[in-house]
Amino acid sequence: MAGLISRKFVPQGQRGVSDVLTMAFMFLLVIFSGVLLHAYGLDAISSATDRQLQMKAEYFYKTLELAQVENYSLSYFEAVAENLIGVTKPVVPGDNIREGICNLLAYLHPDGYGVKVELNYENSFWVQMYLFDLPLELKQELQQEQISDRLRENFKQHGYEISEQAEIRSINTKEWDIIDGERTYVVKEHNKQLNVFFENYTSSLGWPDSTATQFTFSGKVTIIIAEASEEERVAQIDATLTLFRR
Amino acid sequence: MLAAFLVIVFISLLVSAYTHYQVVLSTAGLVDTASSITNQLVLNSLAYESGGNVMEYVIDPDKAASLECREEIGGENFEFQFSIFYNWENEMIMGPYGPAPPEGREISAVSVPVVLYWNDRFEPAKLQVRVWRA
Repeated sequence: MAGLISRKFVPQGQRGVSDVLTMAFMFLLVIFSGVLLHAYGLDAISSATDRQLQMKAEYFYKTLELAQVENYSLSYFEAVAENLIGVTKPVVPGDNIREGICNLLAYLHPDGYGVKVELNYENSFWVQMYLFDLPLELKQELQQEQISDRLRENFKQHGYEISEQAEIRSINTKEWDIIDGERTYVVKEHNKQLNVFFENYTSSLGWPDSTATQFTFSGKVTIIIAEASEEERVAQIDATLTLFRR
Repeated sequence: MLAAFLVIVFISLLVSAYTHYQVVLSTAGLVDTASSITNQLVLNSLAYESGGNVMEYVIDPDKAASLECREEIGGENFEFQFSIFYNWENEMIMGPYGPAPPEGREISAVSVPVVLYWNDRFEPAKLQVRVWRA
């Protein structure tokens, strides 16, 4: 009735415009509600995936806590703890345990996620990070010790910037350091891939920053130190494992 | 006429969104079930026992072959298949254990780091579990 009355007083041309506008509005409303309705509940999958990643962080931590270093009886965390505390003769030499943890991080990391292992005792830190993989085609550029645009772009894709001043240093035929100011990225070839790591033994890092998606599991590693010069003592080291995506 | 058409479109969208929502819930449920079955395997069914103590997170491969790969969770039946990957330098695989996943069915796969009790040593390994509705 109201429509009939209003139409009676609205000129023909104007009525057409208002009808088109109403139709367009209704059409947009239907599309918008369709998108909203389909988006509803989508976070149920991401929540389930997040719960799974938290579980993976816990399992990763427990693996480093319980699994033994190749050719030794100590676990990975126990071996790091000995080195961190600075016992006179650690069972596993520092270089061996660094190498062992690098290999393990590259092997066990969840697809698309980096892994950070951090142990600290008083003011001493041990931080090792697996960051991402590079395509094997970049090996030639690493061998030539040249930072190409392609290498720089690959780092950028994973959220890491390499400055113009950065340089490459070959360690051996399968390992290179990319030195960028105070940061040194370690690139290691393994299993037809180039794994990129970050290592630091002097301080805790700001990485991964707060913008990264993170899943963390923490605990304490307890070891008994029995050195000839002193009585047995118990040391507790804080350990944290973080899975992250930038 | 146009209003009726828009109402029909809206109702169709509502039905489609409801179906989509059911698929999302079903997928999320399957992902959670895969986590739950993995936890059950690592902390209980496959856990290595030493001197009467269960060592959580440590897998005993001797238990793998005899395990029934079927679980009832929340009134639904699920089947699963699992494999153990170890020796990072030259990767070896134990398994797969359990039935092969059916084709065309929704499957959730999860891979977690674990410790494998092998040759009297605790070795780092990966456990991969694939779960589907029976």
